[in-house]
Amino acid sequence: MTNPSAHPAHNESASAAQAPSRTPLKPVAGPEPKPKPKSFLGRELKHLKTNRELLLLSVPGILYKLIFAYFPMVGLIIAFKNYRYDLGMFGSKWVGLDNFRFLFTTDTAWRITRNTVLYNLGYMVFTTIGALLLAVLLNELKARYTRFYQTALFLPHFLSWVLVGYIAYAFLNHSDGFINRTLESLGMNPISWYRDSAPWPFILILVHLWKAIGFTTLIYFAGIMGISGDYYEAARIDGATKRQMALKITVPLLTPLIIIMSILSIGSMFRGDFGLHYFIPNNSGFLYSSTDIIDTYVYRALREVGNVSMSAAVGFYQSVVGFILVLLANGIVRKINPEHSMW
Amino acid sequence: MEAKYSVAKLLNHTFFTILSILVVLPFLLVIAVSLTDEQSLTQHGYQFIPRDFSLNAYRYMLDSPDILFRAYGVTIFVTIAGTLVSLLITAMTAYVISRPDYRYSRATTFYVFFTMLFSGGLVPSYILITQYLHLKDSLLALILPILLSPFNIMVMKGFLSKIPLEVIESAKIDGAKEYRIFFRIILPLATPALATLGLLIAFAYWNEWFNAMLYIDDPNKVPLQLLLVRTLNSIEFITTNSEFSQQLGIDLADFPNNSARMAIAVLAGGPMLVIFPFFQRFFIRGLTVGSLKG
Amino acid sequence: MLKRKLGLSALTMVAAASLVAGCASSNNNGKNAAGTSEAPSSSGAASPSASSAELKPVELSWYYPLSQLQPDQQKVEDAVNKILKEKINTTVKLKPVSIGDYVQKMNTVLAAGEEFDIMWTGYLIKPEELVRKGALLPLDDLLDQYAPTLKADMPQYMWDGLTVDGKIYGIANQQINGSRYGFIIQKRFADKYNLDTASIKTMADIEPFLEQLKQGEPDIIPFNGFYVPITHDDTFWGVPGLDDHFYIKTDDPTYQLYRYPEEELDTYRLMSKWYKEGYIYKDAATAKMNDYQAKGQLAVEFNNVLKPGVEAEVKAKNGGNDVIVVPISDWFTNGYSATTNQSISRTSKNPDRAMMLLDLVNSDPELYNLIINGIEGEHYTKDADGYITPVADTKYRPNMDWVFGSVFNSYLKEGQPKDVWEQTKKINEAAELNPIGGFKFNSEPVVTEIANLNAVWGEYKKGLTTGTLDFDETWPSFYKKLQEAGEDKYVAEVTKQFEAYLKEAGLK
Repeated sequence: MTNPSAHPAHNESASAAQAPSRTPLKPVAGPEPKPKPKSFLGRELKHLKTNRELLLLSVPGILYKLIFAYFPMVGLIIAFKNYRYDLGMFGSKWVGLDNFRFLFTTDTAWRITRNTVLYNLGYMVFTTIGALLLAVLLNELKARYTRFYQTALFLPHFLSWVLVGYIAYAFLNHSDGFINRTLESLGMNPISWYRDSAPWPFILILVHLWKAIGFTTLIYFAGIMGISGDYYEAARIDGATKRQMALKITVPLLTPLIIIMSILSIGSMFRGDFGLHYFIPNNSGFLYSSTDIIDTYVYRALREVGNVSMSAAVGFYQSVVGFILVLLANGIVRKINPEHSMW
Repeated sequence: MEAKYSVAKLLNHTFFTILSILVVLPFLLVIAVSLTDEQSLTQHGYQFIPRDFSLNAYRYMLDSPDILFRAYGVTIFVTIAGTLVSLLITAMTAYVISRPDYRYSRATTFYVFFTMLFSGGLVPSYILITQYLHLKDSLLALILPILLSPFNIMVMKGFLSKIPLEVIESAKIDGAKEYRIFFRIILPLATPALATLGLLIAFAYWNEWFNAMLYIDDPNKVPLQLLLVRTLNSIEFITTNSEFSQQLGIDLADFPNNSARMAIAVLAGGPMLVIFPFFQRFFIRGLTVGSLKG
Repeated sequence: MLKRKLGLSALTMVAAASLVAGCASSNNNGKNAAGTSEAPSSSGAASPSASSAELKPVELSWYYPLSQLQPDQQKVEDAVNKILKEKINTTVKLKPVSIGDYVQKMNTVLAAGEEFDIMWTGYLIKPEELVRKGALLPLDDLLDQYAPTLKADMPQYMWDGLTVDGKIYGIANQQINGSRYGFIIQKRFADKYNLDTASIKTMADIEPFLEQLKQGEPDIIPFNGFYVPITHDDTFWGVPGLDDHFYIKTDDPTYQLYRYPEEELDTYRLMSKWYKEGYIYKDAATAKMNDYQAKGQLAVEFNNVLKPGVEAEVKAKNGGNDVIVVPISDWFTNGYSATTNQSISRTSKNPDRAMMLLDLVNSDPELYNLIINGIEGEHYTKDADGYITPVADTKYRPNMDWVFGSVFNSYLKEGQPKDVWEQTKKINEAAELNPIGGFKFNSEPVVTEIANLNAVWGEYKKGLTTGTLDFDETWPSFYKKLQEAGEDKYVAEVTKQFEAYLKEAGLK
């Protein structure tokens, strides 16, 4: 099934090889050994020319981002204005950092920042390790089984947080939740899950893993699928064990992917998962000390005020911090191994 | 070669079977509740085995089948068209930035990644779509806004950067042009990656309702998710604002509650069980470099 | 190749420029629209008596929320347009939005400055807030010119409720406008324990009955806490439009403001006490109480809309058990708090025609009933007494009469007394009127403080209203948090604006 698609490519390159190229060979790597053209502009034009085919391939994407992402970014100024509908984006009054004030006036700022970062770190670490483990283990099984297991693991991805909130409530509610009923039948005391904030970090991480692990496992599994069989073949000939192959081949070759996934998570370190933290704890005020994050706090604060500028300010703040964190993370990666850095 | 049924393999299977059961358990609850009589749910709460079996929730949702079928049609069209275009551009962009020898690779990566962190927000996008592109009530308004996700591009880049540069270089020595290398060599090599990304993109299109809520007023162009989410949101709104609904004379008894909520989830997610295996057919070991070199 | 590249960048530059220019021009449009509206007489030759022949054809658009979108929407819209075409040479594009999405969608539509004509405003999306963001058109002149009867028919205090900074910004969909506090009690328990309803004059008076319930009915939750703020009593009035914690004393000619008066705090203390006694369910603050109520497990509920016929309405909600109503206050009204209205958008190209349409919806029962009930014979049937019944599996039954216009024009529905609207009007007229009901707070100067106060209250509210948190223990630290959030600044701003209002209204 795989081969038919391979053959054309194979034939293509073969036939190209038979008819020696008409165009002269061009060096593609960055540093140019050729004599330098005079001006900066001239040099750049030269570069453009050598890279033009790849550039052309990226044009649709770049153009799309320009129109659908960069043009609307003029909207970022809303965060610094008192946005009035009749005055519009450009006519509204500048108010400096006023819209950011509400996030920082109370000492809740510390609580929500801490919670947001710690949870996201926890989610990142546990999801990465868990998904890698599952992907490696799945790789040991036959395709028809992996398909079944993967589908099962992926199912929770389709449930909205609102719905998961209802399911969680069926498990956790005090009087007739499944868990408390089980505890009682075992002769143990029921727990007021929605009043006791202590177990919530575990509950939230568990629910997050339940919902997200299938997704991440899928990505890592596909990454493993993309590793050339040659490596494993060679290792097998050398008499490597499965574990050795996982540690010496799979994980190292997945490193670029792991780094990319991690940097992507770091970029949203300051953006909490609103649905998870709002619906699963049932928005119970008793749990805020361990469940409240920036996004739930902002929702609570702005729900009745409905202020476009203030929500824009929050988004901007989260973006800036995420941006700084990504620059840091990417810088560190580049120090260690420039090949793996994002840019 | 090792034995067909080793202990390790058995353990592995046991582990995944238990894990799958645990993960699927809440999903079974969803299905069970969707098949339970609403009265029974009020009295006895959620049960894994329906006490009083009832198809009322589905009957309620299938009240106007023509609307539902049309919505399925819109969703299927948007999902297929969107996924094809999106996958192509995602792969093109990701391929270019995955080439370490491309002079603007880093700049382009940054350019793309930046849009994941910063966004102008809802209002400017709305103005763009409605007042400049005039896409209100157009299916393009469902396809374009989520066409190119930086996340997907980055993940794709992660997949593609594993392809050894020698493959590309040898093709170049053979005189192949970049676009030909991309379509004839890179894409076949990246089948599992394309399948994964295709799946993620298809899910995104399938689940998309927010843009439809903003941009689609024409009842004939409403996608499935919007139809379902709208009902869900209304149920949610009215049950959580009971003081208002009473004050303003909304009849709560008219609203399906728990069972319909769950039936909505089944109707929305169910077809995914067909789409998923379709893509999984392509989760096969990537072609070896050797086979290309011939 | 290079040419193509340059061409592309030129294209993008043009596009960027037009984006900027476009925003500016849309602003201009906005200003123009506002300009014409302030002098509507200049906008057209049409006088109220003008026949449709003299009017040029116009298409309007009208956004409103519905709890469920209707399959036969288009059919009804066509029928509506037939009437409108004939009477005012106008067609309208009806744009129902699912109620759960209404606020978000409208905020986006408004913020983007989209052109449309009419929108529903009300408790979900308050006209006074929209006015301060510059979204709505003042209606005074339009009302005088195109809807003089409507203007005269509606009580002045309702117009006052829709007036912001001296201008009217909405037309109320008239309905019941009185409130009454009290208890809704399951009849079976009231009978069993011979509850003397006459003896219950205040909230605390129900306590002995709750004790009886607790002793005699182990499976029943006696009480669920108080979720609706108490804004009126024999001794005080709440100041409307704020956070429900400002009061004035009745008959106080100086209208001194009280913040968190002891009377209010005593209610929380009472809840703490009841919670400890076990009258309130121990998980009331975190459980879904609706579930217990639907099972018929909740004996007594505190409510503020004990309108006529409420017994029948809440029966289903109480597991099908009969209930009785025990009011502890007379009918009162905070004035009109802009609960449900129509407003005209600042971006409307034809505000005069929009006003004519709204006038018609509120004065022409045929048109109004067409929108709220659908087409007679196809969506509902009407009997000889004038009562209507929806046909089985009807494809149009929004069941939200109050969204469109004055419900006093609606056809009678099964179960309603024949004189239901006369009764309701009487209640509206007789209801005691909050003397400061016309106060409209401008939240802009303290929006940061309000956001933070809301967040703090959000954390404690359920704990306090159910008594789960002991009030006297919680209050000191809670109040400290409120102060941190900007309590004092907020109070000062309210006081300042309130004093100004008193002077302006001639109350001081």
